[in-house]
Amino acid sequence: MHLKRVCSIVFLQLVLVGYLCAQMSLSDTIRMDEVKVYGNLRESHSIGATIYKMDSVKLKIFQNRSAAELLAMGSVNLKSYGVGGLSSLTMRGGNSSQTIVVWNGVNIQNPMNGGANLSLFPVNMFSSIRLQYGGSGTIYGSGAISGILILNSNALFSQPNGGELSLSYGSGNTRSLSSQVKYGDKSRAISVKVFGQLADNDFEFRNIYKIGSPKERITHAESKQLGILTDVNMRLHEKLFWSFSGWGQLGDKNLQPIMSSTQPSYANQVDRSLALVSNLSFSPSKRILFNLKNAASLGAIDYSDKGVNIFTNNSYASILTELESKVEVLNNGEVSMGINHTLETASSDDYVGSAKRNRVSGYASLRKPLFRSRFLSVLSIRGELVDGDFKPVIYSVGAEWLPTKKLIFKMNASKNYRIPTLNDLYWASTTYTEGNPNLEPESGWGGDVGFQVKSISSDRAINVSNSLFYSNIERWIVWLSIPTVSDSKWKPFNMSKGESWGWESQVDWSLRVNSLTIRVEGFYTFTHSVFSEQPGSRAQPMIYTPTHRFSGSLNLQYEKYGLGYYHGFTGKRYRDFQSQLPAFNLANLFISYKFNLLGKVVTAGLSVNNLWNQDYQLIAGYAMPLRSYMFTINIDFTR
Amino acid sequence: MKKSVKLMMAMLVLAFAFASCGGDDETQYAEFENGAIILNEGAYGNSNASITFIGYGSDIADNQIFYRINGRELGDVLQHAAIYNGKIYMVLNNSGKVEVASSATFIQLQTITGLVNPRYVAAKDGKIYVTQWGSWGEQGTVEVFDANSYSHTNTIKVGTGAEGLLCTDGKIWVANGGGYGLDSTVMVVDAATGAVSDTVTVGYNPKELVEDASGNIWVICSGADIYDDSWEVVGHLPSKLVMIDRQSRQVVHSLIISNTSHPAHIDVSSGKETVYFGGGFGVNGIFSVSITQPVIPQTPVIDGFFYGFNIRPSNGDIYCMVAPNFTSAGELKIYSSAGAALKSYSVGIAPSTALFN
Repeated sequence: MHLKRVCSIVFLQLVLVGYLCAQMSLSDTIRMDEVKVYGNLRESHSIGATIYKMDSVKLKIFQNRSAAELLAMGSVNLKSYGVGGLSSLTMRGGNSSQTIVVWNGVNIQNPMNGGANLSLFPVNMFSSIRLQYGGSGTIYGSGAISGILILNSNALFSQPNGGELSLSYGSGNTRSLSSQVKYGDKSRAISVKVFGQLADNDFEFRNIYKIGSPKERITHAESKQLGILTDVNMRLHEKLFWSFSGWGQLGDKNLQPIMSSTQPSYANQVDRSLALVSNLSFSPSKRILFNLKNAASLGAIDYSDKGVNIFTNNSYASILTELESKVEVLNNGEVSMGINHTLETASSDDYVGSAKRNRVSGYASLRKPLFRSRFLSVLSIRGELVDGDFKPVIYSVGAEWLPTKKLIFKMNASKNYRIPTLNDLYWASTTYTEGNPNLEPESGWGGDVGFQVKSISSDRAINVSNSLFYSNIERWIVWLSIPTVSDSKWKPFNMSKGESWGWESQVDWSLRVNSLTIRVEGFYTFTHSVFSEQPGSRAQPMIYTPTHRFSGSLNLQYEKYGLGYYHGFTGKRYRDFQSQLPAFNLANLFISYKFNLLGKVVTAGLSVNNLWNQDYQLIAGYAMPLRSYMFTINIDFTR
Repeated sequence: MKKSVKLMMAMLVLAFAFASCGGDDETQYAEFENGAIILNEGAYGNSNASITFIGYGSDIADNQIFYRINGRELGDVLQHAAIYNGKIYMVLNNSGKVEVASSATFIQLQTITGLVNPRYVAAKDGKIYVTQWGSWGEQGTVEVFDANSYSHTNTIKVGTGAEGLLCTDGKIWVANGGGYGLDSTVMVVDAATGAVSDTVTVGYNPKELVEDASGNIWVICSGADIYDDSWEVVGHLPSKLVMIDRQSRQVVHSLIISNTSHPAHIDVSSGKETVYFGGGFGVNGIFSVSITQPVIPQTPVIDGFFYGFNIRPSNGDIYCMVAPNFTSAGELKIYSSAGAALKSYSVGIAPSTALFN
């Protein structure tokens, strides 16, 4: 049903493309900047926000791994139910559904639970991974109370034709293959990326729930993954550009039991997802750009556990149609406006009937440089209608002041909300659980203030930024069972509030001396966060939010040799109101050597993961691997 | 440029200084005799079960004593425990194990594994008896272990969803609680042979049993909700309080408690002449009946929603456990046998059972 609709949308776009081509004059010389297609239109409206971008070296090193493994070494807090298990990220004390995940401009969170399983996101599928902190992502949509994970493809025209094949073998009998091929010219190009992985995931770990904390191997965690992603870029006319991205992913995973369990485990989950984004951009003049975007995010999750006779099948779809425009106004100012319709549907064995939700929203954002671009400002607002009900208008304001070329002062403030997930609303009344159709949206506000110092020369660069943040979330939705009332099923409630404040500090330094390139990076976060379950009740620490988090890296490239050291420190975190998980240091070491073979550039690499052999848990009770190894060989076929 | 590097270095030093703040809690050792041991189930799937110790007359609840003494968490869902011969046997339901520790010092001694959905434990004459549901579709069993060597000695097949058990007079009385479905029997097992000698039909889903001053057996039968295909509640099987003559194995009293409420717990007064019942998921009140003239009362001895309760044998005080939810601190409220509130304590997550050491 959904596939038919998607096909219809794509067909309609093709018809529209033909019509517009016929209408345009060949004498026009304005050429579309295809880079705009992949989200830059929105990124330029993120003024004043704290942004962290994964560097290309890191993406390359982790190309045969999941985004969860990459982000575990990064600047955010990752939660994971074991190796290859459900993994999600949190920022600034929020929960995972308060951080939205955007791929090529489209929110790909599962509308059933508001999550995105990052262990099923192979890194090689993305050309760019960015994190935007805080709730200032008004232009991306509502729901981004804590932040946004932004995943993008690259524009293809500027990429050389050719391909790349990468093979890995490592501990846990992990066998991975990733490959990408790009072919095209300056008006038509296609790229195909493939990822496959088979893993037993029987890594060693230390079972801290047993007497003497013996070393054991993870059991019942075997996984299979297959993914394919294609990008198509077509310059249909000098004023008309079309891009299409399609990404299908399959995961079949046995779910590792909690460490304390001595019982046999039978749980298995099969995930299938398909995301399609079609974007038609039309620029009638230098100052105006229109984008028509159609997208679909479809998924199915089948969970089974014969040990307790649970077999559930779930499927969802988000169908999006969006028209947005960018117009230059007010002397170098820019107004971006858009209107969006999203249809969310879900079907589950645990629902009564199917859940369906229509969301219509409109946004406008004004970006204005002042005082000869020494002052940049942005104001964004968004209104939304959900199944006919107006939701509160959300907004964000941001500003950057550049007193010198090397110094930037930043600030932003925002108000946001997140509507309940479909599970929150539509879960059937069973023996132990029940949805709550009376839930209100979560409401949040917050802001940042900070500064950035940067200095760039031909052979060196340094970038230091600091920001203080505050975030407040009211009517936080939490699933609770309350045995003290007669209706004591697990159900979601709007609890009182969560509050967090803290400090983020980022350092990025690079130097090039002859053939030697050095890059040092560090990101530190101090977060103080508390949560009150009831109005007036004692504030409790936010669970799984470390007060101190540091990630740093050192990369050296010298002629054919490469060395990378990645270090993440995660401080103590409450796992419930009274217990804490211990702090841990997680380090990865990579060495690589590049050589020519039959005219192709081949890179051989070895990575040592969890170098210091630390016991650690990202979710209490779920074992993570001790020291492990992976060997990778990469062949570059680029012409 | 130099200024920028200095700034960067200063911030890195500051970052590490923050990262190294904070110290570990001091380890404290204590004796855990002469007090109540509160079992905090924890939240299912979170492996955060814990033990609270409260000395008699003390105003202090000593939380997380197993973790503090042994440096490790107990496991997932502390369903039940029993004290026997200086040892405490703790049943971790979703971990499929029984942790054994000294009941005086809580120093860990052994972990008994190989169980699937274990529920209750009892000990007598050098043997440990653990009821378990087993996997979906399996018959409930009583698993028997040697109390000294911890070796598995026998598996006794009983009814569906074996729950509470009682060791008395050479017999093991087992409540077949229904598990994933329904049952309405109590089985009597010969402790010497492990053979089921009698099956007594009681109410739906019997959960726990106690022995009164006359030696008769009282059973709390929870009843159940009835659902349609859409999981809507369309009816109820009533809850009952049943008395079985221990010698004849005949049901003497079968009293309907409620058609809609499903209490799960039972205990006896210090003199074993009054039976208390109530508590459980969403059940309001602790009620009492005389063993000689049992009539289900309309009003409870103690009003309130309690996740579990137990009677202190030496003085008859009623220890009632409150679980506001499965994420926050629970509460222990102590009442006199007449129902007067005496004290309250903040304990671990989802307290369900009190043992008296």
